[in-house]
Amino acid sequence: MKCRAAAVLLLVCLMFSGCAWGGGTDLAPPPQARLTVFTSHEPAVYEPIIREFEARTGLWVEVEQAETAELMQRLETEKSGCDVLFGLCAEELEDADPALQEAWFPVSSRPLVLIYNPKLVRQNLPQGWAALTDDAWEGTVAFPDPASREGLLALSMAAQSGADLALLSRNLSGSLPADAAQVVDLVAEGRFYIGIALEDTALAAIDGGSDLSVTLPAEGTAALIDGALVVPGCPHPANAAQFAAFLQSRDVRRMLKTQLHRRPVWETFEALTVDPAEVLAQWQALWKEASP
Amino acid sequence: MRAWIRRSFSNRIFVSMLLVTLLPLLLCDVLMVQLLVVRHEHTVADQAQADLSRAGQQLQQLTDRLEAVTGDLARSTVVHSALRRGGSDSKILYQVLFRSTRDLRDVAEFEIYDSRGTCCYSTGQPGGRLSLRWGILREAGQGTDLSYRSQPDQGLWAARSVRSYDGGILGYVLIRMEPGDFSRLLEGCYRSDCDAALLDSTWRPAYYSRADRQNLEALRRQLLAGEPLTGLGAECSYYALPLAGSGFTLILQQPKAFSAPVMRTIYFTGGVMGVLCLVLCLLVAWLLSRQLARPIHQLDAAMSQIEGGNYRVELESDRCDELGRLTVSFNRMAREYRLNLQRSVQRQRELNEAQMRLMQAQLNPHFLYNTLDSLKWLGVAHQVPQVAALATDLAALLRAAIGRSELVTVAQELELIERYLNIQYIRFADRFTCEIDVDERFQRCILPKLVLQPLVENAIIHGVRDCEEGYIKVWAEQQGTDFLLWVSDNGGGMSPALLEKLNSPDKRLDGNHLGLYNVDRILRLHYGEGYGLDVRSQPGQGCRVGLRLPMIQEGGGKC
Repeated sequence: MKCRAAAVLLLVCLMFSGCAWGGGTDLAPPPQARLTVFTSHEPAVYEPIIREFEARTGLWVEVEQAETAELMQRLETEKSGCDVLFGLCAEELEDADPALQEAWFPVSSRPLVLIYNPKLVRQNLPQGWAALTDDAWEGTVAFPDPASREGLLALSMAAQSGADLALLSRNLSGSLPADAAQVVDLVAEGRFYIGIALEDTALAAIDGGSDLSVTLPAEGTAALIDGALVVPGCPHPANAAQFAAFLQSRDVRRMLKTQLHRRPVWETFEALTVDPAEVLAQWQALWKEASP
Repeated sequence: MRAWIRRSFSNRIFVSMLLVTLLPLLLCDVLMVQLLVVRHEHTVADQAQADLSRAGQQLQQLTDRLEAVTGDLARSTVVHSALRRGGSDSKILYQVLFRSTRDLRDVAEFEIYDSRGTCCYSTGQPGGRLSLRWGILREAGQGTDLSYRSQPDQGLWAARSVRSYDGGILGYVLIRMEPGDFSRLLEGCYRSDCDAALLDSTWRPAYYSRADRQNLEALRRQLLAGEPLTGLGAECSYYALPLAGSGFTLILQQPKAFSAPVMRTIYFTGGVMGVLCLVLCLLVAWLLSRQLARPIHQLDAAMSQIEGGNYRVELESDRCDELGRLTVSFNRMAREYRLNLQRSVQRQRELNEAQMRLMQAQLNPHFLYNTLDSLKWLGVAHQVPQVAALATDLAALLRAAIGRSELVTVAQELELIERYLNIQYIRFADRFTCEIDVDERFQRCILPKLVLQPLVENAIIHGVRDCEEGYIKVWAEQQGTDFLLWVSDNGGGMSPALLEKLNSPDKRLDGNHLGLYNVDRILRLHYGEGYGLDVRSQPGQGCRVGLRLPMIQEGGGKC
């Protein structure tokens, strides 16, 4: 029986003796030289930071890019291997583990700004949130859909500033762009005269040659704060701490401001005085009436 | 499966032939394919390594020359003074710059930056301003060596700081290399169907001869995951060469000689051929095994027929080999067995017939016995003692004849002979005498009853009846393990023809003379063909008839 088993084994080995083997793992970095980052940022935002960090430290960073909700779900599974979550807002951690909430820190802010087409708007320039309800801009205001983060933030800020939401809905003429990026495109194209958008999106469009003017609302503005956190119990805590420190360094903040038009988080922000959920409910009722 | 194989000789042959034909065939088929693939892949891999080495040498030479050129520029007093003075209109610096980079400008652009990161001089389109706290200038400012950085949209920048004698940074020498520059540099180093990639120390691409970067991203993921480097689709082989000094890695991407579709085709074809070979081998093995085992099956069937009682089975075979000789031997064995059986049946039949005849010869014994008993008492009553003696002797003979035992001792047989002689003495009026001389050692030997009486009767009736002084002798002699009981007379003997007849196997005479024939048949039936009568005579010299018997005493022992 042993002879037969040995003969069969020899036969199988001979048959598969020609199978190729692909190597190359000698070039792989050691485990202590690795870092895994989960991010919801676009490559234009995270790639320069990751590359600079790799060049400075020699660490190998593996990036997983997806929506925050998907990343949070993956984080909950065992052995996700994630060291740093990068690009999520504090609000996205409301239902998360308190340890994650505690570990979150801000990296950059994206304030809401008023934008207008200078070819079409030469006088009565919009100065603040109240301009959005001005009769002069009836049907010419581009406002991001409150279903988006920036849209809801803009609506809440407008409500907090005392703007009449009913008049606002009238001035939108039944059109709600999906998000701030679309608002920028529509205003630059001249389909709308003024709008609300994120500052970095508007400045990037200007850098790209779009004809736009940008101004901060006089009443004050809200901003999307994105941040990062080191995952408690991550596989490479030292490398993660090094990356977190890098994110909070002057060099990164300066790069974010000069190259991506994202403002550093120097001061603490005040929370909204209105309840975004109530504002949204009120808006949805108004919008239903105003929509054809 | 084992039981099926063991059940039939033809199944064993079938399985053996199948293994002998199929296994080598399959083995050769698979080994040949594997060897072909491996050998070709090795050849291709060797070629790829040579190409990679050649390309690596090109890049190494380039980096060496870049090191040398930037080093010269960084130490150049013209560069130092121009950077200290500021501005971007130094004709002498341009001359130095162009002269130093003469051999490299077809693969790179060279720029001089001031200490604030502004491009002052360029061999091509001047760049703008670069941050001193981010990117290549920051890294170059950390030391005095040439620093390299891959760019997000492919391309390689290298920079070296220009320092004053006290170590302060006066400016930077920057080198830009675009993807097209690498293509020109590496042209001719590898096959046109291959692709090359230059990756930095963390495997970010500085150059890739293809536009699609997803393959490189897949390679990086596989490297970090510890998986074989197969890229997207696993259609290519990848060979890596780390470049010393710069920390970069050169990757050569070579299409596999046997791509997945080709391998699938090869395996499919091999599989089809294997199946065809299997079917063919099954068919051939089946037919050959049946043909080879047919004679065995025929023999087996014939043996079964014989076991079933058909002894007339006979096989035909024109073979001259072992199976042919086996068939001939089988036929001979069957024939002998059939003849032996026939002889046995015939022997048993004759014994039964002899017993029947003996029984037929026995009249209703009780009536005769009673009648003889009456005769005896009549003789006694009428004072005729000879009648009583005659009846008494005759009754004893009849008693022996009707007795159940078939075998008696020689002593008992001789006693019967004496009673028979007493009767005959009265009949033949003392015209003969009979001497019984049988040694004591023969007395207890057994023989069938009443086999000696016919011999004595023949001696009296055919031998000495017509003699005046007839002499009959009964004696015994031993011959080996047998003994002979002789009855001889001094009569006229018998004719040669009769003598020959009585010594032949068929001793039946014409008419109703069954005595000697019966005696001979009884002895042969009891003891075999080597026993029976032995008749010797010459005309005019009397006759001697012997019974050859084995020396078996009463109880089964030897006499």
